[in-house]
Amino acid sequence: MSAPAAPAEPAFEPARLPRFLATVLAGWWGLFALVLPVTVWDSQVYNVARLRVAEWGGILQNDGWNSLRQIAFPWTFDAVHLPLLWLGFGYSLPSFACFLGILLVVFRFVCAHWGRLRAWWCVAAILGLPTVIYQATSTKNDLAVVFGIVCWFYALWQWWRKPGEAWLPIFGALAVAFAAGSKSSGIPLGALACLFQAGFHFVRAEFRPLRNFCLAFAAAILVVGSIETYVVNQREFGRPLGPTHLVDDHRNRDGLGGALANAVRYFIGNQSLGFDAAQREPAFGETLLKANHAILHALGVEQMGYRADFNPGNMKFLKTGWEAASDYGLLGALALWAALWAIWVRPRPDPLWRIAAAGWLPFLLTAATVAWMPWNARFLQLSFLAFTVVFVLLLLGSGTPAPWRTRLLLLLVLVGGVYAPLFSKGRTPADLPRALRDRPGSIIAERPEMKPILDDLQQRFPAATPTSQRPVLVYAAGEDAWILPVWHLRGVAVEPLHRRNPAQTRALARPTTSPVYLLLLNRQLSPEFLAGWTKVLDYAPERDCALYQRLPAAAGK
Amino acid sequence: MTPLLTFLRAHPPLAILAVLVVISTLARIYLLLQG
Repeated sequence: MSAPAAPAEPAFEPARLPRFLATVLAGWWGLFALVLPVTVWDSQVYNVARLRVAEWGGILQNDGWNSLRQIAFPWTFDAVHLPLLWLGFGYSLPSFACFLGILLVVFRFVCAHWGRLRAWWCVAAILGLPTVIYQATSTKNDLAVVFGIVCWFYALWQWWRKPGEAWLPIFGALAVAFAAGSKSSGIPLGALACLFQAGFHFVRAEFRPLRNFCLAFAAAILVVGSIETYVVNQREFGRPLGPTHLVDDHRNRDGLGGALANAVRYFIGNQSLGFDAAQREPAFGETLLKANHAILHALGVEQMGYRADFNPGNMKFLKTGWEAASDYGLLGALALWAALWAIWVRPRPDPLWRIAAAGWLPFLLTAATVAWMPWNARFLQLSFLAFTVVFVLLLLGSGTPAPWRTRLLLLLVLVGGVYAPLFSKGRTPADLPRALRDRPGSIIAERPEMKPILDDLQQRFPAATPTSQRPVLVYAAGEDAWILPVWHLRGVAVEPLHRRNPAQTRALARPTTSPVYLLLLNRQLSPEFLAGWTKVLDYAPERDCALYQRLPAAAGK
Repeated sequence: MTPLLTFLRAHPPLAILAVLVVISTLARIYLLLQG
């Protein structure tokens, strides 16, 4: 990469402001990462929840899975949360560690080519992207994929600067394998990274590091590539990637038309006024939706690119402040335009053109491969990181930036990093003490209908019950059921109902002196199966949630 | 181990990656052995 030499810094330190801003914001969000419980829907259903099921019954021979996503999706990053599940604290620290790693790479890269001032502003600007900071303080695995790819880039960039350090290609390979093992979306990105690295070394006739990279990648993919989930998929569904309908549902099935439609949706959907979440009515979202329909209609691709259950009639641009239903704020929207400008206007050897291109590549790859869903903004984090760097460098220009430029950047960071989270769901200042004071309330904030169920179970099975007297709670859960809060119950021994042969569930197959309860969570069971049970409570008949107790006569059968 | 530790000290992002990889691998081995 032909980057300009870092400009000479003036005698005073203008980087003090962005450094202070970045340090305070990173410290604030670090607190959230430390104290927030598992909050996100996906983790309650599969990402983190499946660790408890695996702890109960292993991986390869487990019959307690209740959701296809617990088996089908790679889980290298999810597994990092296991010690935190035991600890009961700091669930989001792995994501935040990934976030800090990304910031370190951005800082070092920008600092080396454009100086400390711009490096600190880039870091501060990334802390002004709402979706990124929400993901960094959650248990989702999207940021882990970004971290893996960013680490690969860092290792390659370091090699480009100072060839000869043998560990760099090895860690580059490890980073790619980590990205691919963390989430399916890391596989195409990882494949591109491998091809790029192979081409890079080949062109430079560096065959020894190329060999090291290939060997390290082969070993790393075995260790962190989540091979076991592919093995289970092959055994269960005859396909390593999981059941056909699950894969087909989530991929763009409309080819180039779908890719074009999705790219337009992502571009328009990520326009933001910066205070959209503060509005009671999503007026701007509606305006964007109309513009989106008009453009897609004109292009003739309005019906293309969706997941099967979405269409022009029910699609929405979510800007509600949830971690998977937000955008990248005003700064992100401006960065999107800046990256578009950079790719059209800047000359091709220009470093900003290259960074913009590095952002557009995953943007278009996501549009081309993933079916459109309202909560896809998180898939674009890598792109928006690159776009933000381009925007900051363009805005600050060369030499000492004019004061209005730094003031504008400061305003944008404050809008995205301070003002927008005030209207978020789960990331307001009040959510910090709430996560400590009312932990169950924080856990189920995304699904409040779980509250009466958990309240009842906690009262019915007090945590202080001696281990020997604890009843057994067997749960039969539906595909989208929140099982993780059930595993958090302390006054009861939890066991999932066996999927293939429910009668073989340990607590049902063996005689037991403890009372046995059956919890239905968004799932129906046959009247024949329930014949030996008496209903204790109907939590929500319309959602198939109820509690049963085994009849004494059925005990031991 | 010393050259690796020296390398990781010089490259903190890769040190974070190494820690996550070690925790993940140990956790997955532990879970593989359950059941």
